[in-house]
Amino acid sequence: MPRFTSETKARIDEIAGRYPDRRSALLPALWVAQEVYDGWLPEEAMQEVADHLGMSRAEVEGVASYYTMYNKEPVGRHHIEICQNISCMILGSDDLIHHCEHRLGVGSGETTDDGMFTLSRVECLGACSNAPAVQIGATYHENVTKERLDTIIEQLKSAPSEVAHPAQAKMPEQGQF
Amino acid sequence: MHEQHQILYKHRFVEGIKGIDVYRNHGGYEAFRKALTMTPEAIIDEVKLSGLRGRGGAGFPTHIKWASVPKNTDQEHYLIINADEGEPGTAKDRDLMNNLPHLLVEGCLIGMLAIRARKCYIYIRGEYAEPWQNVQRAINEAYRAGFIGKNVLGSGMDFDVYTHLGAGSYECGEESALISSLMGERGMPRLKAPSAPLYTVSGAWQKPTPVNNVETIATVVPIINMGGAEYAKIGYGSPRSRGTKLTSISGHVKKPGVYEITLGTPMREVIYDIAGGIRDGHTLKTYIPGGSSTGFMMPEPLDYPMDYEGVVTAGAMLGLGSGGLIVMDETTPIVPVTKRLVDFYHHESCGKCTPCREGLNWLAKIYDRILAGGGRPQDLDLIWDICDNVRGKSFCGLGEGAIVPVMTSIKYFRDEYMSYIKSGRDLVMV
Amino acid sequence: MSENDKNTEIHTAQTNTEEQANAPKESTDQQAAQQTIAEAGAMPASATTAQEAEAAGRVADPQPTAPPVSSTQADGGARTVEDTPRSERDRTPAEKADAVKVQSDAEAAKAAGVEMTKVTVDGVEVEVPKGTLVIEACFRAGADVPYFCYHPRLTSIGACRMCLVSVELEMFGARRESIFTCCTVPVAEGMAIKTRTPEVKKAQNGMLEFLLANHPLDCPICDRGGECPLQNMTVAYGPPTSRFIEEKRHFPKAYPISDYVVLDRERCIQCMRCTRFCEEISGDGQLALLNRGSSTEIGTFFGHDFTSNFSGNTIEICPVGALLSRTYRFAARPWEISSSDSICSKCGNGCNVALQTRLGELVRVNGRTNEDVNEEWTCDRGKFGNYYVNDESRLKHPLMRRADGALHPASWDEALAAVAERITRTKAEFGADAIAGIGSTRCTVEDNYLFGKMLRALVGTNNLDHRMLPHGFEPMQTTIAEIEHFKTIVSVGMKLDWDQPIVYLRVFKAYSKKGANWIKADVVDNTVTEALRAGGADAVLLLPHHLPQDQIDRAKKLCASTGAKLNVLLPDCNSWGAARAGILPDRLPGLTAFREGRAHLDSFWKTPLPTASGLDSDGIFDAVSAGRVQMLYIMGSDPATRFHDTEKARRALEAAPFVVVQELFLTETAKRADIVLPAASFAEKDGTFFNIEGREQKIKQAMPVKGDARPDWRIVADLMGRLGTPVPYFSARDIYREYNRSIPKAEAVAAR
Repeated sequence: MPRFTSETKARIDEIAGRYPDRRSALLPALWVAQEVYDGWLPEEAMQEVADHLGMSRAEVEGVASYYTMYNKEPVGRHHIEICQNISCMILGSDDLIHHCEHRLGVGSGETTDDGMFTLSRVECLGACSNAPAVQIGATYHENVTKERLDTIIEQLKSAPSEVAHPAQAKMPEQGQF
Repeated sequence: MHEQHQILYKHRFVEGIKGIDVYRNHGGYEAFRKALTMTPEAIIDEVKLSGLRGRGGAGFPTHIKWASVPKNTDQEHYLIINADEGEPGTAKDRDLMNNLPHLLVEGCLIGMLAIRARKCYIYIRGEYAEPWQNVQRAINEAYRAGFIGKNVLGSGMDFDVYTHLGAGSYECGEESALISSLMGERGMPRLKAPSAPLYTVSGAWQKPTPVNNVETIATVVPIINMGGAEYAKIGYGSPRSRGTKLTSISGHVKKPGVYEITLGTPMREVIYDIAGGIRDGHTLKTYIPGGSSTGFMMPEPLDYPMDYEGVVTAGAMLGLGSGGLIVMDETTPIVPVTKRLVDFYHHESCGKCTPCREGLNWLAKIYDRILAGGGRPQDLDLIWDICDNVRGKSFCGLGEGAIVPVMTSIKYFRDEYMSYIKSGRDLVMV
Repeated sequence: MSENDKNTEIHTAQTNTEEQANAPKESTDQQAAQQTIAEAGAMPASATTAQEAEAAGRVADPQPTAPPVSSTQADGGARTVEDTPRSERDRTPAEKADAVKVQSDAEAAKAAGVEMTKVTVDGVEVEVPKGTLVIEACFRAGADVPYFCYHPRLTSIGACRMCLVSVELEMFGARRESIFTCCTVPVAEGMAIKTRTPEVKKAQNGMLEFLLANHPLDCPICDRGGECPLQNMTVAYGPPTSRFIEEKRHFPKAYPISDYVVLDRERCIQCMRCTRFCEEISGDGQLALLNRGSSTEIGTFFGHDFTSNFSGNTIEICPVGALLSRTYRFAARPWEISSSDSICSKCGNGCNVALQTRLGELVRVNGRTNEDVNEEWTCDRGKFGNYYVNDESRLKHPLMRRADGALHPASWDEALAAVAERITRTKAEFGADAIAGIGSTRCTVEDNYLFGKMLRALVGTNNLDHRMLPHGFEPMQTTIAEIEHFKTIVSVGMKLDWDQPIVYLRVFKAYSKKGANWIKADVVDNTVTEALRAGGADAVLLLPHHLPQDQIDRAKKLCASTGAKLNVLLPDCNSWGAARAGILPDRLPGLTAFREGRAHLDSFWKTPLPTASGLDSDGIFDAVSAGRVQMLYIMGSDPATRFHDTEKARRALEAAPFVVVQELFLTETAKRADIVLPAASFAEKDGTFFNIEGREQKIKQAMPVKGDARPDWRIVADLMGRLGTPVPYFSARDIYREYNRSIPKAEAVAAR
């Protein structure tokens, strides 16, 4: 079932208008599609993007599969992404990850059975001077300790709806044209 | 202690500086007004006088990049801003975008004037949702205030600034891969001179599209305000390294954070004074001067000036880097840390060229084996030779940057490798 | 020949099912093979060799050393063994073709006064056109450079890093020597290129070691083995052993991505030739790079079928055994194959192909280079659709309808005697016009010429046609190759990539690489008119032959007024040939009108020809049903399934008192015949095809004839002998010579 409404398409068309060619709108269009398709990109989503932008479907899959933030599998309502790179690592992010895996009962890259949390190890989040860093949805949590992470997880559980992904944060208004 | 000039961060801690009103109350957009009265050549001349060099890592002189944009063509020019900060250890652009988004927007406007562009794309990495929103909010405010849009400040010129969100690829911070990504392709690097024209002549969409780092373009604002000659007076080191550098200091220091450091300040002062020194009870073991690709360096020498030239004379393989100083004390196990970096580069390799794709895959497997206790004495020579086969042969800088931490770690910490190989254990027990 | 597509399809379908059934078993075999190999090279042995290799690596100091001896031998003195390029023998045919193309291009360019650049390659001075890539300059200088991702017809991307050479050039204001991928750098005046420095050699060695690190060692069961660029390069430039002792990358093996193509992702070296082909040449973008880094693989959109009509080309350009043909898989080793140059029989574009056979069976059809026609590409119909020649259901003996009403095997003698007797009797009882002939758009010019000569000169009738629907003959006003230079291209009423594949490739090239405007329409309507008006003399109009005559007339008028070129495209491999051989009721060989050609033919064939126009195919079938035509002689045609009004054709075939059919298969038409004569396919005979442009191209016998079948011209010649004329034809060449002389001189010139 196609999910792109005329509004979705208009949104993509507006973005496409910012570039000299239509294809350049592919990355933003995939973000939009990920938003429309509940935080991930199934085959139909890529198909809709390809067809709307007039591109080869395989190329769209090629692009979507290249970037790590386009989810190829459904993700939980809260996507906990823990930085594992050097600055965070030397300040204990491995412990944080193991703690989190233990607590949620899932491995990295997995989603809890209730669909609440997806846990991922990610590469440098650019918060090195406040390491270790954890990204949940659009929000960064810095200088994270096990105790703080526990609190955050508890809060998320009762949070009615959390942005599972930056794309789900409303696209800011572009300004008048 | 050397005085640390606060050029970019002058108003960093002013309440509400994110908003356009406070920003304007502190002299915001005055540089742009001034630039509007100048010819593009005059702007480039000021930048030339200032000695500004790219702050993203390569240190290429900004005025040369801008001057190579063709002047008399009827083609459209576009300014592209590289806000795909992803080098491990580097967090300075995020800090700038979060706290001084209008400085970036104003810099973009001046940059567009200098290269005769009317459109600017700010490529922000996908993870940076918050900086993205801050920058976009600033753009919106600037539209409303008339600094962007139609007939800006009565100049008869129309300007547009757009943000473009990446989606998770370190490689897209490489300027040609960034262009690919901006054009909706896989973030793979493109051919460079001598195989292809310069991007300032024919880049994205076959149009002149110089790519500048966030910090570089923001620095243009104070340069126009204070004059290039004045800016060039700042600095304690090489005459070719002028001004200040945003540096994020991380790791085992007392005061990690993002600091504006005057170029040429001795490295010892940076670590021990600005960052407060090593955490109590520990000593400096090694540090990475400018993001993981610059490799490990030893505690001695430490009294060299931190600037483009000084770092190289002190023995760094890839120069000053992007401004991400990672400090490690004696508790740091080098082999697992290096493996982490190898895994990172392996994960981020785009897969286009053979040495990077296969070489890093191989290295990652060897490190896995060594850490699992299956190391062999000849593995160190093998790793070295693999690095040598990647070096100078990979398509872009990623492969080049990936092998630097590996080679430096073997160079300085061979005994830690040997400990793993002999006993399957680390010398350092955390 | 009517290759009865139904038969072909059934055949292919069967093959596929078998393939699928075998697939899992094969992959287990391959894994087992791999394991054995892995075990054979177990740890201790490879550890020693790794040390040796490392030692060797240290000996080869990467510091630049004195240039090799040959660089001082610009006078062309003897080269040392070290500097001898890899021998010609080691190159695959495609590689040789690449090199030849580079050379011929360069020579032509110089002759045409193109600006030249002088460079030295390993001390040999060479002049190449300005802008030439260094790799091509190297080939021109006789130096050898290994490469995988480079392909002269695709955009250079410098991805495989195999072609690194040392180049001295001016950069950033200083003259420096560094290593570059020579497939991306254009030559500059005075450039000094070195292809054999120690640094370059180490790089080549290192790249191959990298490429082989994750490449499975299943060469013994890989179809590419023996003609594999990766194998060849490894022999010439690679390391003697591998230091890679880790687990290799694993993907499911032998993964079918369409009915024709099977993908082995473990073998892929990510050279992106196939994805660039799909993007740049065929334009369908169906294969793309997926994932990234060391997980990069090629694939179709979520594993859907690779439905491009050009998928087979990706198999040919794949430098390893990653993309393989399902029809050729495990059919032969490359060194067992004999290859004959021929022309594809599947459409009128006339692709130059190599028919490759093993033990008398066609195993593979590869493209051959012809810059004027197909460059080096073929379509899938050509690559996978020609296997009908092997089909077991081919007719192997003459068949005669006996008293029981069924067709039974007969000897040639019996069958031919019966046909001759019937022709004589019918002519005597009902007159010559009671006999009619249907010729073939898929038989050669020679077959058709002799068929026409027999019916006109020996039988004495003009009831002769080959068309399956009425249409006229408009010679193309441009060549296929010229199409790519037009600024406006209008195609009407065709799915160009399937109907006229090679024309499509040119159109797409014009559209994608040269910015041409491509307008697709269903009929010649106002859109077409406007596009042609706007395009003026820079426009070309492509029409299929089956458009109604009024549309074609309108298009002709339109093109005459706007200056656009008109190309009416015929469907079959020898549509032009059948017409030019004179298989028409009102035209003689060379498409000569009766009044212009009869005098010449009367004397040339030494017999007076019938004067009035005969019946066309519609008229013939009407006349059969009306009882005016008593005998139908059909050569290589299947009107029962292919005629525009199949009902009419079938009624006529039922009604005809006597039907003779020369065929490959027992087609619907042949089933209704009284005598069926088994014919040789295009792969089993020599001859000539005229493609849609009217380009004369030769086919050569590639394999022995199946069973007792005979080439069509031979059957007709035998029959002519039995009708009382001794016929001195020993080969297709004799007939072609006679065909040429049968055309009145002036017309022979005007016809082309």
